[in-house]
Amino acid sequence: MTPIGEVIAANTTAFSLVMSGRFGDELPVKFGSLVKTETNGLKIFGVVALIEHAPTEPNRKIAPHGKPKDALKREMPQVFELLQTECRALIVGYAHRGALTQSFPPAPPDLHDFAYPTTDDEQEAFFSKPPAFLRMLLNSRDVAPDELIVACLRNHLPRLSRPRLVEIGKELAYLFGDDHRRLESILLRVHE
Amino acid sequence: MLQLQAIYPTLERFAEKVAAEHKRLGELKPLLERLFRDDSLFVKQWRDFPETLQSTIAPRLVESPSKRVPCPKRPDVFTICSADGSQIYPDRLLNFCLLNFSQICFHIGASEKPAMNAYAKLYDAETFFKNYFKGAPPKDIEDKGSETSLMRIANDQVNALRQTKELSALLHVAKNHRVEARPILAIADGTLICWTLKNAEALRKEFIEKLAEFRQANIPVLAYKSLPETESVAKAVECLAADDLQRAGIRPETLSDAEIFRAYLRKGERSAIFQSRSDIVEKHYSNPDKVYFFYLHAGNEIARVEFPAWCYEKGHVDLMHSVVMDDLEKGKGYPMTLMEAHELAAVKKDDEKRFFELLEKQCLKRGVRISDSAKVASKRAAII
Repeated sequence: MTPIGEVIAANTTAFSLVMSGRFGDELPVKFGSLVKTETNGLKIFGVVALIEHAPTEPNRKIAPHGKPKDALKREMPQVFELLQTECRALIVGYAHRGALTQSFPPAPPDLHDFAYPTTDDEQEAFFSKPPAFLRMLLNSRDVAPDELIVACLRNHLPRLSRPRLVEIGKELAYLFGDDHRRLESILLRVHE
Repeated sequence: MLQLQAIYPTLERFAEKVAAEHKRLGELKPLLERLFRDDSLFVKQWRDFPETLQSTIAPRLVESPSKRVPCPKRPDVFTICSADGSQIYPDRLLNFCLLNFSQICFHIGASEKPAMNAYAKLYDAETFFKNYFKGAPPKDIEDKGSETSLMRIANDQVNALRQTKELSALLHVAKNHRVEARPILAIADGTLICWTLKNAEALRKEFIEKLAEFRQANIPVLAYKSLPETESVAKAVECLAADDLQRAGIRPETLSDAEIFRAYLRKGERSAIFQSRSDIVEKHYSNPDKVYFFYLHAGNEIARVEFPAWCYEKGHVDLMHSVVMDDLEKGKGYPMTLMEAHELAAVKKDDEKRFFELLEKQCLKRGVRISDSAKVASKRAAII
């Protein structure tokens, strides 16, 4: 399987990647995708919560050059070599010796591990569990959790049968308490 | 902390002086246009050079000084290479130096990936003196049987080594990335005149050999000097037209080449081509590699562009002029390729800190603590 990127920062709640491939190529993941890393037989699952384009050197500033992108690539070929796409995934579960659980792993992914897209089987296994991952997403402070939940459910809709969607709806209703408008805003957008 | 209030009145007087000087330079353009005319006595005397010209640094004329060449059209597709270097100098306690080099190659107007590499080399005193400064006198230390490891590496020697190795790095990247039938240009930072190698025979020889290799490989090479402080053309003007300058209210001895060509050229134009009469070039460079140069109005500044004579003879000047201007526009006033080479080569404060931390760890493993060295101490933050 082709890696989507390499881990450059990690703790037990989230990990960050620099995406593989050249800047400007089609991104191998989307906001809300379920991705994984694997360290010594420990698979760690994360939901992509932030994708960001940035210079490879933090001290370099991006400046406008006033050229169409194709011309820029021909005339200033280094510009795209000095950019990269980073993404941050919130950890939503792990699997060890075949047992998958939606909770934080005992240890974070190793730095410089590769991250991969999840397979259909892994997605099936993840979404067939009671949706405890929703609380983990809602608890994270530095993302827009409602948008992330909408994107995650939309990205994996083929894995979500009607009974599973009902279960997710119930869990969200429970988590939001009386905030029906918030719940409605999520549920309506999942099927848009 | 700078106490600006204290210098404010002096600053005002200083600004007045600068403005007055600037206004006087306004008189320079009509004067130069008159002096530089092909039929002027000034040009005749300069051409009759060196019999009539007293200065030893005034250059020879390769083209008529009246020449002002607008920027020619750039080739649609070309390759441009650059290399740069930076260093960690030795200090009192650690007798070594580190050089970090970058190599850049951009294929402009084409689809090939750019090459952007950097590599570092560490030199201890023994290797340094054995390979590059044979017979250099030991400094600041007792000479115990003239062992090279006991000699102190001087900063000037590090600069000399860096200048030579930068040219090698440039030659290497240009040779490795050239594409057949496509114009190529190699750009060095600074100068092709190896001033710093005056007392480093082995390095000077290597530098001149590398320069010759560009010719043998038919790779045009130039050195771009930003904000040059040179006064060679100014010396010719001073020698031959001091009275005219004084009449215009300009002090001849303070005139610089940059001031002359800021007055004479418009944006994008290059000056006439001159030949350097630097001692080191006259004595050691072969004829096809003698250093020619022109000044270029780069927009925000006057730059000096040096290149070997063979590049002129083979008609590469238009390529140099157009490609440098193109690179300047992309770099918003400084050549983009040189800027990238510099970025990649620069040993930044953080890099230096990490290097010393690593060295410190390695020494600790061997039971030696170097954290008291001047180098490490200098990194400490000031305390209150």
